[in-house]
Amino acid sequence: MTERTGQNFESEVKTVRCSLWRGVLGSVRGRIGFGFLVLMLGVWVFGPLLASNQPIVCRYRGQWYFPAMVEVVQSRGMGPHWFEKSSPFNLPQFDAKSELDADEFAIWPLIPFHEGEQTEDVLAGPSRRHWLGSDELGRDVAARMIHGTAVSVKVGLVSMGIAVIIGVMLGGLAGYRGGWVDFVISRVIETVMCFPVFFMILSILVWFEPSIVNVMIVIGLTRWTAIARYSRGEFMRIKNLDYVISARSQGVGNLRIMFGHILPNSLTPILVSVSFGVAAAVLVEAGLSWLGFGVPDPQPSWGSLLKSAYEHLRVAPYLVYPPCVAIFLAVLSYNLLGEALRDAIDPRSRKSL
Amino acid sequence: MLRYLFKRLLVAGITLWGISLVTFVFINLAPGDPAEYQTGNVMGGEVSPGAYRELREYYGLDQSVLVRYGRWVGRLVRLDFGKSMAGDGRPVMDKIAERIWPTMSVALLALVLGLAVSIPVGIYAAVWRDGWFDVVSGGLLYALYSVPGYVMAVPLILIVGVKWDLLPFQGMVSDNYELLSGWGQWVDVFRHYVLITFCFGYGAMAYYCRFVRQNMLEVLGEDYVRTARAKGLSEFGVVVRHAFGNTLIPLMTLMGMLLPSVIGGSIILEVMFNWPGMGRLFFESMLARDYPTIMALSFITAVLVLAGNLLADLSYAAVDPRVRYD
Repeated sequence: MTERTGQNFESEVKTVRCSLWRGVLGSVRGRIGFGFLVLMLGVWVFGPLLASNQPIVCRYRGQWYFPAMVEVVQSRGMGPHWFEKSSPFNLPQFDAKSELDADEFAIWPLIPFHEGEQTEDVLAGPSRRHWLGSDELGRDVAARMIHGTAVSVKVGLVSMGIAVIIGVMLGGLAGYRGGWVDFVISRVIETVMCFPVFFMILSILVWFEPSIVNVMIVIGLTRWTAIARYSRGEFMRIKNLDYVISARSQGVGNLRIMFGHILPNSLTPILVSVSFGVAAAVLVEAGLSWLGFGVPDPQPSWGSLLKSAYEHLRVAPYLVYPPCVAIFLAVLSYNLLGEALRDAIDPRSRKSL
Repeated sequence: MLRYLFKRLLVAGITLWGISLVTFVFINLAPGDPAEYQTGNVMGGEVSPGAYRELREYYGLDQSVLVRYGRWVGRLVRLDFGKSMAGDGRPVMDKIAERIWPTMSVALLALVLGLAVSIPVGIYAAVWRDGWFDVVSGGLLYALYSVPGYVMAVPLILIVGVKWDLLPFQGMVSDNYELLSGWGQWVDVFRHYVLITFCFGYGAMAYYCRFVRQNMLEVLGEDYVRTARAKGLSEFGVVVRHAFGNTLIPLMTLMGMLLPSVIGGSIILEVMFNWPGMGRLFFESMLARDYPTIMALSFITAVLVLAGNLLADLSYAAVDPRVRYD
């Protein structure tokens, strides 16, 4: 047996990570899940290039403009609009579609509608003009689906980020300290798990105005229990391993042991539950939008599209399918990714489907 | 065993107390109160501040939260959840009693349905592993599992309820329920149950199927199964009695864990189907800030979940004689 020098160990850790990556992308499930995740991220980031009421590139009165590209930069950042469109495209009353001459050069997005743009076609069926039809205010459903992707991506990732922070902190502390700390935290976890998710989310949401940020925070605040339980188990197991004991005997502090030594090695099982958690968060967002506690109206989300479809079930049945299919595919791919991750970590579980 | 039970009950009692205190304070401090809701919504917002103050006094909302919590606990030990603050002033227990059956019956039906489908399917898929049935059912169930009931419900309602006009999807009974004959009333109620039960239960069913199959695969490779075969037992006896019997424990844990979602996971479905169940009651009480009803519902849920966990733990001992609690 070779001696484990620092460099050796480092490379071993690297191999484990590489094989995780390869394991995920090596399986069909992992590739499908990961592929759809990348697709969703792409649609989120480049949404305005797919659906906007202003052209991607155009020539207007002898000058070149790139309004949709500016939108990509503008709206994808979370902060204020620090990058303005050049005049006249930044004016709200400027209607690019009627202002631009037909013979002037312009590349339009695939779907030439803004997600909030109200046209005269109220509740129109799918046609060449509106690929997926239009809703009760004459807004193009395809454009709303594309811009609704942002909510699903952001809600899933941000809320799980919050959940990971809470879950790892509490679970890690419980597993690492043991004793009465463990007892108290375990009871807290048990208590939170006692409540149906929607009971809890609704009770918290009555405190706040509905908005996407609040929805993300609330989902994060209620979805950390599984992560806490996993990290508690992992911390309990790892804290007795040789390398942790040797670190402690060298006088490394508790915090450093917890976050520098144990946490990196307990991340993979946590990653699995995050992946499933993102799927659940997408669903919860859809449910909340359905109950009217989700993303407020002008902003599109798949859940609010589903709700508006339900309200016009008899007049506009074609509205139902796009959000259903999108939610289904998103949840399916997150689940597939989670399973691929789990298989890559623990080959024994591969015998499950 | 008794000592274990006692310890568990003690911890559960403390947990319950903690839950009730936190929930009470949390709900009562939330912005808005029943008096505001009623004066604002019911009377069109044109009431004098005096009426609002009187209503607050009537409900005892002018006292501090902790005093109110003390009173609530005082009533609780006499098993009295107080009167609703939603304007009708009915005892909360009555309100819940009439809502509990619609929810529980759907949950039970869904559970029975789920087990009835998943156990044979799971066993069959495990025995003929990687056969066509296993592959097809596996893929199908996985897809089903990924759509939650309330997303699936919308296209189902559209196709079965609206397009084909086959089944009703609003409420528990039709408008002309009173006029129907005795048999007709049964049929009517049954028809209302079909869609909501399916939407409520198919996700769990898909999950049970995968679960049974996976556990069966593990067990089928064990030595005692080979021994049973070697003894010349019939294949049916080996699979069902020797193998499946040993997958019951994980199945029970699973059910214990799924209990909270059974009780409260139905808010959206109940609102969607206009079903007079507990989930919708919770939603309505939340909107009206009906504190006593919210508290009663949360408390009962917590009791049921804790009891479910305990029962699941105890039933291990019943199923597996090796499990003992000391």
